[in-house]
Amino acid sequence: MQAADVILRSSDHISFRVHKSTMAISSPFFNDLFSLPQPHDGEVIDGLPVVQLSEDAEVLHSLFTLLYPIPSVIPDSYEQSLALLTASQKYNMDTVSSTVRCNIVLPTTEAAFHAYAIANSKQLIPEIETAARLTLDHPLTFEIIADALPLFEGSALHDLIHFRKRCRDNLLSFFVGFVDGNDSLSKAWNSCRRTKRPFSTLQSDKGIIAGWFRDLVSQHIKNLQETYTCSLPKSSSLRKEFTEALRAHISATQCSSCSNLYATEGEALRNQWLRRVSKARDKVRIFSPSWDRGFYIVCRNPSNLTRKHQTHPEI
Amino acid sequence: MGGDTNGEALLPVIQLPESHTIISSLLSFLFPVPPVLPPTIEQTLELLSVAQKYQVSTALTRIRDCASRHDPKFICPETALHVYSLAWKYGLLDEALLAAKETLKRPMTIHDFEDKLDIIPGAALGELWKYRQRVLDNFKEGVAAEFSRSEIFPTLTVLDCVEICEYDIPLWIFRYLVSVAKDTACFDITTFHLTLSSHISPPGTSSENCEYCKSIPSETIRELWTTLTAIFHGSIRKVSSTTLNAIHDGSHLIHRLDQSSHSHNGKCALKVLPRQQREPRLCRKA
Repeated sequence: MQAADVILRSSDHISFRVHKSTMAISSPFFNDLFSLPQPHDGEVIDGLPVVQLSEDAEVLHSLFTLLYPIPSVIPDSYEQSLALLTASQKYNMDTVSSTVRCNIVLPTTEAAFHAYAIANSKQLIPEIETAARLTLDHPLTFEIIADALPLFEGSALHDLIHFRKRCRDNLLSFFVGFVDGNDSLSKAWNSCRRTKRPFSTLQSDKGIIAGWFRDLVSQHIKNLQETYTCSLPKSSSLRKEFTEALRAHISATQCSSCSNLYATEGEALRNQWLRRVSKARDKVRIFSPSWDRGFYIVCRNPSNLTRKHQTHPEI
Repeated sequence: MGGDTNGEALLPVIQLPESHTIISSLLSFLFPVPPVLPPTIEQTLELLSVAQKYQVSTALTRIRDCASRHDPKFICPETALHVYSLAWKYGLLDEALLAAKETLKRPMTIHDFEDKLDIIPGAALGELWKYRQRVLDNFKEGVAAEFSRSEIFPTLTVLDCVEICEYDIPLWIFRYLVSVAKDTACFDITTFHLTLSSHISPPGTSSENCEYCKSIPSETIRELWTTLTAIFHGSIRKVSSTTLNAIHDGSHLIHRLDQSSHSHNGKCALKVLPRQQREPRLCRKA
């Protein structure tokens, strides 16, 4: 690079010739570093001081593409993307962190467990949260997570299990309330004339939701009560189940009330229900807000940091 | 000898990082005095790790021998995971293997391990899972290769059981083998007999009782169990021997005594550094 005035060297010994001014503008850390007097016995190549960094060349290359007016290179792999994010956070490059976060490709498969473990090892709170939520779409068994197990550090797996249990409990509580007719949304679905009303509820104000809908939700209640390690129902799969169950009910019983309800406001009600399901599932956070906030405080003031992973730069 | 303070000024003093309990126990295994094991599992494992660190192989053997005769057993299904995690932490391959073997008696599911996951690192769990899978693979191979050639097999093929599988043996035996091939915890004499009993008189059903299997001679049942036990234990041994071969290849933990003399008041500091700080691998890569 023309007029470069410093060499930043990667952990795998690749030298990048960059400009102190660019680094200083984008990073308070480098700003401080370059404002300090440089050691007299420091390594110099072609008259340029050399600064050894702990990141590998792939991460540094990506980092520099985000600092200079050249095409950005975001790593393909989730792991390397998180390494880039970690580096950008370490050097307090907020703009780079935002760009990386916007471009990270989230895993859609069981790789979510890998993603969670990696994010956890790098202590990237928003990524831990996102990946933990993605794992809920998959069963949590040793068979599924076997390959990711070596990546789990400290209490990561323990935390993930408790997170899943709390999500399950929340979802279960919503489903039970819905089936019992305690939820305001239940009342919209109590017009089915084919649903037998239990004698005990004849005098009560509770709505008795359509039998086909109750059966669908009850099945999920049963599954969730049996174990928390199964994948938690999500709105996309529930939408499909809902449609199939309703169709089967109408074709089997010629139920005009359910048919009319669905034709008029059924879709809106269904979507409302699905939103409530998502809300119940997503309400839980893997870390409590106080812990989260506390972590961010120590990240901003590394001198307060007492956790295992120090986030201040090591060069 | 002992904690004599009178001669301390004349003798060189070596500062060790271990506690009094561990050092006195280690010395009891080195000198002709009654050996004393530390009171807790944690300390026993620490003692073994210290003996390994200082390369006192005789003491290491004696401690292992003493620990194996300890009553109650210090590695049992209840303590296996705890011992395994400690053995992993201290790099004690023998104990890790013994404890891993003991964990086979219980199912390995997230539910079962839930409350212990905070004591065991993910890498150790991963190794334990691989170990179990290797045992299961060996068992399947063992059944395929050895069971059909065993002396008991022809006896089983002529039984007039009401349900025979495609291998001409009673279906309940086949089902039992399948259950063990899925989960080592099913390899248990009680589960075996329960499988037989529920075949002879299926609970809660009106299906036909199997009078033939009811009258299988006890000798045949015993021989069947002995054959299965040999295959199952052989499956475990194969995994262990592969691991032990790895040790002989030189990949085990080696500790280096790096004696650096310091002339602080005539005291000598003995610093022990791990040369290869590796965690035990229970299975070698194929």
